[in-house]
Amino acid sequence: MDYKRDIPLAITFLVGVIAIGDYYTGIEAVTQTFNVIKNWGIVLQGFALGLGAVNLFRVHGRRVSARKEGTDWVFSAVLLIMLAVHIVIGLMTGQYEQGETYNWLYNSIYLPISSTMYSSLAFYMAYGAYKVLRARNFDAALLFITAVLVIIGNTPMFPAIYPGFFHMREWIFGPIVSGAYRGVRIGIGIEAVVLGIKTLIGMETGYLGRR
Amino acid sequence: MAILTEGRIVPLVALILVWVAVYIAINMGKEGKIKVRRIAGLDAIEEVVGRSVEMGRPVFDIIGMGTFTDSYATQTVAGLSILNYVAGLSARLGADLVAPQASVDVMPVAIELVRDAYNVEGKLDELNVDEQLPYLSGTQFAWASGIIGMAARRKPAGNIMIGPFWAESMMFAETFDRIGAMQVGGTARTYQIPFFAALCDYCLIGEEIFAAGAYVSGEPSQIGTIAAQDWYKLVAIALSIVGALLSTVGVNIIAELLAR
Amino acid sequence: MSIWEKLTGLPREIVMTLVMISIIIPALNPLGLPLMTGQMSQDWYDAVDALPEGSVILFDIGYGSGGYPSLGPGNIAAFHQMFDKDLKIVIMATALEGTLMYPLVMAGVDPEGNYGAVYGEDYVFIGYVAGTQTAMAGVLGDLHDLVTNDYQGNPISSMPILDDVNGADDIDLVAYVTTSGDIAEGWVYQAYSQYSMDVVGGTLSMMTTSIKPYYDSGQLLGIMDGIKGAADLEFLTGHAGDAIVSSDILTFSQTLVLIFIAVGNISWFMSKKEVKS
Repeated sequence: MDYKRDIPLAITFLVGVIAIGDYYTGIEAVTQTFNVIKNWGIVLQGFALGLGAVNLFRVHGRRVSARKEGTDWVFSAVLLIMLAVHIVIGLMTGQYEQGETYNWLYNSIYLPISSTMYSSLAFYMAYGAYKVLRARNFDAALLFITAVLVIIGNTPMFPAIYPGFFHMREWIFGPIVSGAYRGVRIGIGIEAVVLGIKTLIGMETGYLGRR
Repeated sequence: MAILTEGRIVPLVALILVWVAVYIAINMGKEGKIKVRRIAGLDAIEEVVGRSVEMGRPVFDIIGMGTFTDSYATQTVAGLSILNYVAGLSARLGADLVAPQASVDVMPVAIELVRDAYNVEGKLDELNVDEQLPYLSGTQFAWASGIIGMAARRKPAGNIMIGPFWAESMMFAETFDRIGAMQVGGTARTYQIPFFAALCDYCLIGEEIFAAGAYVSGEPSQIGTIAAQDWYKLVAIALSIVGALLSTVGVNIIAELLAR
Repeated sequence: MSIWEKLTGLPREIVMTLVMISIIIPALNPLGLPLMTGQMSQDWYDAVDALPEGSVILFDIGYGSGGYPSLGPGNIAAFHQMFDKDLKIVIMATALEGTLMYPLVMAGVDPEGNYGAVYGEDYVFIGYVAGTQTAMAGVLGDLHDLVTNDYQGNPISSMPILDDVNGADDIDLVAYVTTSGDIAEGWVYQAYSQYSMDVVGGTLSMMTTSIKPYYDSGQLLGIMDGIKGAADLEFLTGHAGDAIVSSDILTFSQTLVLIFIAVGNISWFMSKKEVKS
């Protein structure tokens, strides 16, 4: 018996069966057991955050101490400094609402940077739309027509002028897009069930760190 | 108090039947009775790696930001299977593979798989883990910025993106397209499929990434489970057609049956 | 290179600069262009409006700094409507940065100043609960077992609003605003599928196509789709804010994108014609 493999697999199977039992049966003992397991899951998720921070220190600290050409170790140093500053100030000044310095750090540095990165998607999408939406062939023409109708329906002003644009967009979203997405989601859902079964029976062991 | 929860009896029966189907399919797979068709995107992966070798530029393989504990673990596992395959191709053909990592629990597995692949080809000494599988960040846009920066500096000839992706998918697809890289993209995250479909040269949609993973792994039992999925999809199609026709004439028996 | 070939391959710098200009002009000088409220946002508004005074809403702030420009204004408008109707709001965060969004949103709503709301009696923030669907299941299963203190460390046993709120049976509506598909679908699975609860959801516009099947089938009563949905909610609640200003930006920038698409297609066809001739 390979304890390193078999014990985790047995735990996976047991927890999986309890989860299935909780969903499909009304047995109180199973429900209560699963509630406890769910709370353990929440605690474990919290630990994963700490693990991420430790790994950041380890990986980027190694890069800074090596200072190899072409590894952008300067950026790693900036990362470590900002990580340390945020941790120290956050812990020292208590919770966010009461910590003005942490408030300032977050609102002045992280919030604008993060919002900017997300907002830059608009530029990528605009250029992508210009390059891709060309009626080169039948399939591309279909994509082009659909995308243009949806963009017109999405622009706030055009439906206000002529409500038909909005109803056209809704119609495209309704039977066409929703129908297509439901097909994709059914396929993905079936695969998720099969993968769950594979995990429970020990066929899928990628999460254990080995093939 | 009823043992079985009302409204979930038919789903439980369906689950049991899926379980039986999986066992039958695994056995059929082991007997070699099941074949999976080649997928265009899968063939293109070899072409991508070959192109990188010819042009003397790196090939990127991005497996996404998923972990083993979130609901996208299945896609992460599929991405790792492809990474193993691409690593083997890269080692064999002499391509410079770059696979940036975003997840602390996935990274050791990715490193192990790439090492295995290089070892099988006898090229373990050519692998530089720190350079080729760098950990960038677990934060979405920090990771995205890192990859976009690496791509802009190293100008890869090929990019394979298979796994769970979020908003950064559009950034990657557009950036690598601008650099002139040949791209194969695949995800089961429905929100991001349109971006890959629009900008990648080849796109694997939804469950195709799981089929590709099983195909490149070559394990007969894995291929067998793909058949079980397809059988259930046929059942879903049949129920949808019959149910839609019956509902149209006012007979809701299928909907009532599934709600039991 | 002919003019058509040049127009077919405009460099991204030019395209992105023009997009940036189309965003800056209405941002600096809002024009008040007309907008039409969508049915999904109207249904969100109606779902909240239909609740009697004193009903309990579980509200999940499931987004962070990246989603704040798009979803923050809608979140504020939603809270305005809820406080206006004297509804009780139990606020939680399934996104890590949701706890940092809460004070920003509350600064925009000012419940004490605008509505005379009292923290602990009319609303409470229980903070970040890790685990996405596990967190949702835990909150809906047994809230007091999962959470003992609010975000500021005060015991929830001292909060009158939570005296009679133990789980799903005591909550009248689940509302969430998120940039994560996991959270958006998670609430449908956990609240609707498990407990048949009423759910309304707010997401980014690009997520609407994936979430809409849940709305069409009745699993979601309403959707606030991105900045457009936020503008609709601001209009419906009568609390004009950043979203309505952003709708002008949306009009300008999307019209420019349409122009680029038209230019790209016309130039492509004309350059092909030139090559043939």
